[in-house]
Parts: sequence; structure tokens; C-alpha cells
Amino acid sequence: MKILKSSFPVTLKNLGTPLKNAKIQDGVMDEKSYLWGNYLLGNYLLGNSQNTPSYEITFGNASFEVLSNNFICLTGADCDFTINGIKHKLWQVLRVNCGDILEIFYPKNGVRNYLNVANNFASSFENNFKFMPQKFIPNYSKNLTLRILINNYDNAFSKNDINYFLNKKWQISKLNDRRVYRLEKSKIKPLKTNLYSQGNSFGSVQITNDGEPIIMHKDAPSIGGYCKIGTVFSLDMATLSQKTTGDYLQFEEANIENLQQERLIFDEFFKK
Amino acid sequence: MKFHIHGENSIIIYFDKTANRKVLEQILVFEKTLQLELKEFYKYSIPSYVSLLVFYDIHKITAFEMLKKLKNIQINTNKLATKLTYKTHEIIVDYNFKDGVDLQKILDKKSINLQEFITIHTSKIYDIYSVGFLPNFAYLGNLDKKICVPRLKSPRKNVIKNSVGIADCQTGIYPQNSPAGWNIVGIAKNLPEFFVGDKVKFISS
Repeated sequence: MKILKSSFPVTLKNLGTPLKNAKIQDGVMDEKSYLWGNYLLGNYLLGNSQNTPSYEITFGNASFEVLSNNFICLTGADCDFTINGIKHKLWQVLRVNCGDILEIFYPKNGVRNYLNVANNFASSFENNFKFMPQKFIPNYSKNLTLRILINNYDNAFSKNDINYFLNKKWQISKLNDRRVYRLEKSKIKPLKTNLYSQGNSFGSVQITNDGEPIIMHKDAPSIGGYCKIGTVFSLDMATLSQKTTGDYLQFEEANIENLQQERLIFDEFFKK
Repeated sequence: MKFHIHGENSIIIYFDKTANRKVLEQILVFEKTLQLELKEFYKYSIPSYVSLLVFYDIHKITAFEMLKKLKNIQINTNKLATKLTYKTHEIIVDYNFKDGVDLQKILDKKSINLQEFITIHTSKIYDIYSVGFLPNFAYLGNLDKKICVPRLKSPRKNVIKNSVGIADCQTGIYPQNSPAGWNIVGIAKNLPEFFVGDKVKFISS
């Protein structure tokens, strides 16, 4: 695959590794879209495992030239997608030939696309293309609720501030990228300003002294010094990566048993 | 010690309210014990000042079972203390006004001269309380109060690799060109790989 153009750098990513180069975790931002792509390809004996790398494309406007006959699957943000000018659907396995031009347009909803490529080219592959049932295709225009485990162990937030945090409809600020999603400033006032820095996990939410929540995404630093209010569920973090500046979200307090159970079911499904 | 569920696959342990060498070593001995005794469930961990964030395999154990196992860990210092060794790194620093862009300001504020500043900064052996923020960025403490200054109100867009900074009662070395909120006092001539628990001694070039 040759990258001809893109709005933002296209990178080849897989599930990544934790604690590399002082980062919490690297790898794909939208684990769900990425895994579906490999799952659809993998199911067709095309050799993809859940960790086969995929092209992560941010805000579309990207084109690729196919350098050898292969099978691909495009998932993620809702956008127009063409092969040699002919429109195709996302979330399905498609055959491509050497010299084909793939174009991924600016997303109508969502931010990131994943272009998964088959690991082995199976020449005997028949027309029986694998696709995702419509009802499973995510709708990124919906308001997002992030399930969070509240961990106010430093007692850095008052009960009132925690309630405010959980009831407020938050807007994503323009400071959002692979590393962190910052939300708008608010009246939340951390009660402590001089805490010792501590470890973060993927999804941890710190609140600055200006009341601005910062959600740690992939590539965020593993150590943080602002007061931490809680940690967002990993699968909701995947959906967050389809949101951008000005989008709204809410938090909902979750229960550890439910989150672990949901994550186990998810992992079991994609295990290969 | 306090144990709390943190994320869906992590538990945070607070060892004390105040950071010091004793607490730091307690954290590292606990971490080592945990890596050996709960090997089956343990994935990785982040020690920092007074806490240890532990990540475990949710495919093998539930949050509450892991919490229980962590609380039941028995520390045998005699058995482990010998296995944990801490290096002392010697870092040669050129304290000068060209690289140390905030040096003059600190000297003025604290009413000391350059030689006094150097003597104070080089006289202590510092402990590495945390490593992170940037790859190999070590948080060193604690500075002598005579040279503690608050971090900059807004960070500089860029400082050069190996800049030595101070902020509040911490000091550290920027391992790469980076935006920086710490006050820069000089430039390091060498930069080894740092681990939490190691010690650092600065030497004036």
C-alpha cells in the first residue's frame, strides 16, 4: 500500500504495548473498529490475527495506491470511500488489485478510520465477502456516555463537585489528540494542589486547577501530577477517539464487576 | 497502606502521606515481592513517590480477589533487601548563564551567588522518586529549601536536551528537547538510564 496523500499523518498501528517510552500505552486509538477489521479479514483465512497492524487515518482525505493484489477492510468513521472512483461500503472485506486507487473522504461522523489489509493473499478466495451486519455498525453521531470508576482517593474533590462532574454535559475543547482529550473549563475546584505525582492508566481523568478535565488517551504520559477523579472504561475510550472538538459527552459512574465482565466478553470474542 | 480499585484492570496502593527514602524503598520491595508472589496475575506497575499503581490480568482474577491478594502480601525484607540494588549516578553539570537561562533570576531571588548555588545543588545525593513524563525523565528530590523555586507560570515552548531544571523541591534533567515548566540552571554532560530508587549526585564541570 502506498500512501498518496492524507490530512494528518497516516500511521501503521496495532494494539500496542503498555509503558513504552514513558507512555501509558501506545497503539490504535479505536480498538473496536480496528479489531472488527482484522476480525472480518481474519475470519476468511486471510491470516489476520487480532494484532495485525492497520493504517490509522485521522480526518480522512487520504488516498492509497494498492501495490499488490490483496483483500482489505475499512472500518471506523462514517465517510465516503471509493476504489477507482467507485463507491464502496465500509465494514466489509473487499478485493483490491495492484494499481487500484483507494480514496477515503472527510468523515461525516467520527474521526478515525482503520484500513486493515489481509496478511496472506489467498488466491483461491471466492466472492463470498464477509461484512458486518448493519445493526452492529456504530453510529458516532450519538451523544457519548463514558462509564467511569470514580477514584477520589486523595479526597481532592468535594461530593458536590463529583455530582457536578457526573451530571454535566461536557464539551470537548480544541485540545484533543492521540495523547489527551481536554474538556472545557468548569467550576470544579480540586481541594488539593500539591499532590505527589502518581501513575496513570489508560482512561484516567485528571482535573487541572482551572477545573479542566484531561482524559488520558493512547500515548499519554504514564505519570501525572493533577488531581485524579477517576478512570474511564477502555471500550468507551475507543468510542471517544471518534469524537472531536465541540462534541458533547457525559460521564456515568460504573461498577467494576460490570466493566470487567463486558471487557472479558469483548476480549473472548476477538481472541484468535 | 491503603489499597483502592483504580481502573478496570488496575489497583492503586498508597504507602504513606509523605515521600522519603524509607517509603520509596518500601514501595520498591513491595513491587518486587508482588512480581514474584503474584506472578500469575501481575502485568506491570508504576511506582511514584508514595504510591504504586498495579496492573493485573483480568482474565485470571477479579478486582476483589486481586485486592485481597495484594493486602495479604507479606513483606520479608531480609529475604529481598539483598536482591534490590540501587545505583548512584554521577552527573556532570555545566552551570552557566547561557544554558541556565533561569539561573540569574534564582540567584537574585534567593540572594546567593553562583558558587553558593552550585555548592548547594551538588552537595546532596538525590533520590529518584519517579520516572516518566518523557522517556527517562527522572523526578529527583529533595532540593535544599535554599534553592527551591516554583515552576514557571507558563511553560517554555522549548528547552534543549540535557537541560537541568528545578521546580519546587524537585530537580531533574530533560532527556530531549521539550516544552518545559521547570527553571533551567545548567546543562548535563552525561545522561544514564534512570530507575526509580536510584540515586543521583551532581558534579560541577
